[in-house]
Amino acid sequence: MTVEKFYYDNKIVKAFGMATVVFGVVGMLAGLWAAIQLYLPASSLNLPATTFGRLRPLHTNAIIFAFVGNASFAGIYYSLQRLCKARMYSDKLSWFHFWGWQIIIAAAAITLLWGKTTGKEYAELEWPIDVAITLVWVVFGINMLGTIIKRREKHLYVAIWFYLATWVTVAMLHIVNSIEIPVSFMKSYSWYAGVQDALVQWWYGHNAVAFFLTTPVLGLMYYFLPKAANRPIYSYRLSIIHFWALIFIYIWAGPHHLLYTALPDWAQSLGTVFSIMLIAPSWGGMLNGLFTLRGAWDKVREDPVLKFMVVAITCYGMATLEGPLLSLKNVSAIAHYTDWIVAHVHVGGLGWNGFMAFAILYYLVPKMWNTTLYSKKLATNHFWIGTIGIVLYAVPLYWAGFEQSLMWKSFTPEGQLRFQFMETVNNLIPMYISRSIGGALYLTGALMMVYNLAKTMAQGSFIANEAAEAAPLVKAVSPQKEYWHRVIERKPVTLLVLSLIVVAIGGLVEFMPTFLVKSNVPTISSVKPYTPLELQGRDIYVREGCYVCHSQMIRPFRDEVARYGEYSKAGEFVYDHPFQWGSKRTGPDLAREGGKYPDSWHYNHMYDPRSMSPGSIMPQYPWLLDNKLDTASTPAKIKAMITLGVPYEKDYANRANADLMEQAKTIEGNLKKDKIETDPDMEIIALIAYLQRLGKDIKGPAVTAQQ
Amino acid sequence: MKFIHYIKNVSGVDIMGVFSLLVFVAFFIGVSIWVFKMKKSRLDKISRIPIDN
Ligand code: HEC
Repeated sequence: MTVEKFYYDNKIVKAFGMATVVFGVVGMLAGLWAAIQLYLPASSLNLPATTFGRLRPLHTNAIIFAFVGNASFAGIYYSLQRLCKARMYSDKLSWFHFWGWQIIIAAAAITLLWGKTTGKEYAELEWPIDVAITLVWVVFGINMLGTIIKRREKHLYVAIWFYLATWVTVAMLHIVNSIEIPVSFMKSYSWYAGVQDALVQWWYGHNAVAFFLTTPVLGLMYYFLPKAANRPIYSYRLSIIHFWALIFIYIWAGPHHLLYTALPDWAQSLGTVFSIMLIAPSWGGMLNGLFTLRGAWDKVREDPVLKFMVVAITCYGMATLEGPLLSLKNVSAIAHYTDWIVAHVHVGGLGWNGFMAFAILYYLVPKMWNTTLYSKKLATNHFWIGTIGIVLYAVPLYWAGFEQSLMWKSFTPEGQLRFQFMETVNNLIPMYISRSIGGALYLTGALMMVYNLAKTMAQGSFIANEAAEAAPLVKAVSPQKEYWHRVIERKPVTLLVLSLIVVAIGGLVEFMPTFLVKSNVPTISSVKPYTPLELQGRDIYVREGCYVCHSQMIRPFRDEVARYGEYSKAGEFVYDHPFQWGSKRTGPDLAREGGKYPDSWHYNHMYDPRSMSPGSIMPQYPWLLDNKLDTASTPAKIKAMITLGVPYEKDYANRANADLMEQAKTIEGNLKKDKIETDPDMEIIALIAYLQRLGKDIKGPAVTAQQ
Repeated sequence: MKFIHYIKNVSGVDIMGVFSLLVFVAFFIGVSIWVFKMKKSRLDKISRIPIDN
């Protein structure tokens, strides 16, 4: 048999690796800055672009899609070529993928800070960028499949399964969740409304964690861990079960983000059951990783790569045990909306994703530069400072979440709420300070890595094209026996289709009833569409990212009903494109904010929250008082809403601005009575109109809360 | 005005839960049988792919 000579493309791996480092540092800086704003609100500089509501989406998007995304691509481009014994299918496609992705990231950074957002967490990017993502993703898929098809290795190693499942599922999630109707170049409304939007969004959000932050990284674990330890994975059988069970179960668990909300009960239970079942494959995977190192712990002591991996895999195990626990209704009742969830995410993000990325970078750079790591000692120090950083970050936030929740729920013997909302916030400040110190340490560690890797690169010489040899694949005519093994294991397209079917079943079962059965979302006759001014105000609310700190979803608990009013009903949200339920209560719930305070209170509060609520950590929004409202966009917005089925009169788009001005003048008049002079056509007026509308549709009858 | 009351009126919804579970159990058993029927020698060979490169 003739042996073919070919070259692995290291240049593309290098490019993605560099991007990982750059965007990792940027994303962590954004996170640190946002964290500091939670105890020093003035550090937002009172600029629109750098307030918490815009910086936080930048942080999450940068970490997920730029840092972890680029790290996964680097690892995939490196390992896939070697597992297939083939160069990537097309260099052109590789570079299209690389530059396309970086341009998307740049566009994301600009638009998010500019306030262009869809208002759906982790899917904030506006529609032109969504289209670009789809295009680049397809190119990535073609390149990957092409490589697999021209491979010189008969079997598809399990890592490749994870890559394929990642690709197909992310494609599905992204497309389904991004269906939106464009209003202008950088503005769109979600196709779905209210409960349906929430269901789709958290099906997406949860599975973005599963299929963007977990499956590709597990694939990388199955390649780089055996590689670094120089021994095969503990049990290949287990890895197959891990794969199928994981992708099957994960997709169903999304509703656990919506426990006790206005989501139908059966969907909530489904989310809980499948979340609990997730423990099994997740821990199977973790144990498979850790057992691989059995009898090799002396190596772990020596090798920083393995050190990072051990902590990463352990954090994976902790996060995937905690996640199912958080899906239990009674645990969710306490943890939801608090910093507990932020801690949980960061055990996964800093521990699992971050440490895996560091491990892979420490592995790849010496290999590709044909040298050894510049300083093992520095890497070990990075490891320790990073680990301490994670602990200092997570522990105080767990405490903060737990304590704040208990304070929210605490009643005096007379049956009054014991604490004002602001009292529960004041109490968190020391925890917020500690978490930012933890984050700063973690970032310091990352910077040490940058230095270490730069030095390593300087002392080695980069091998852009690494020579390799392998025999070509001959078309084997195998016996009938083991037919199915062959089909699944060697046919990438079959594997792809099977994965798609497996993940699509879960999605369909979850959505179908809510979409098909109309009565699943009961309409409430008193719920009316937003007035044009309120709609404009709502868009400002979305633009400023108020939803990252405020929920609009009152759960049926005694304390929430006492604090915020009648609990939320599914029928109240039927005109909400997109839904704005939120997921975190850094500030109080706003679902029934309407009528709580006079217009002037909101005016002053938005200008400087601390003037109305001493000690508040809400950012200032002075520009809303100076910006003229963009009324030119009103007709297009009304038209889009009509397309989406919101019952405005057919020709209302043209009359909308007249109604808008009339309502604005009323608010201007109210403000004047309280000695505030302003023009009616200012952004603040629209925002006040929206805030005063919230929750007014149903004037709650006597409340029957459950505890 | 409890939401659950609306859901109870929708027929066929509780079937969803049972159906999902059954699908999963069947699927899981299928995968397990498949995996345990695989030959050890083959598994060993495949699991060495990353290392032998
Ligand atoms: C960094 C988190 C944060 C962001 C972002 C934020 N808020 Fe707040 N908000 C708070 C906190 C904390 C409070 C409670 C203290 C206070 O009243 O200022 C609050 C209170 C409020 C209140 C008073 C609620 C009540 O019933 O007492 C309103 C109204 C409000 N915010 C509106 C907004 C709007 C509108 C935006 C977006 C333009 C926004 N907030 C953005 C944290 C935030």
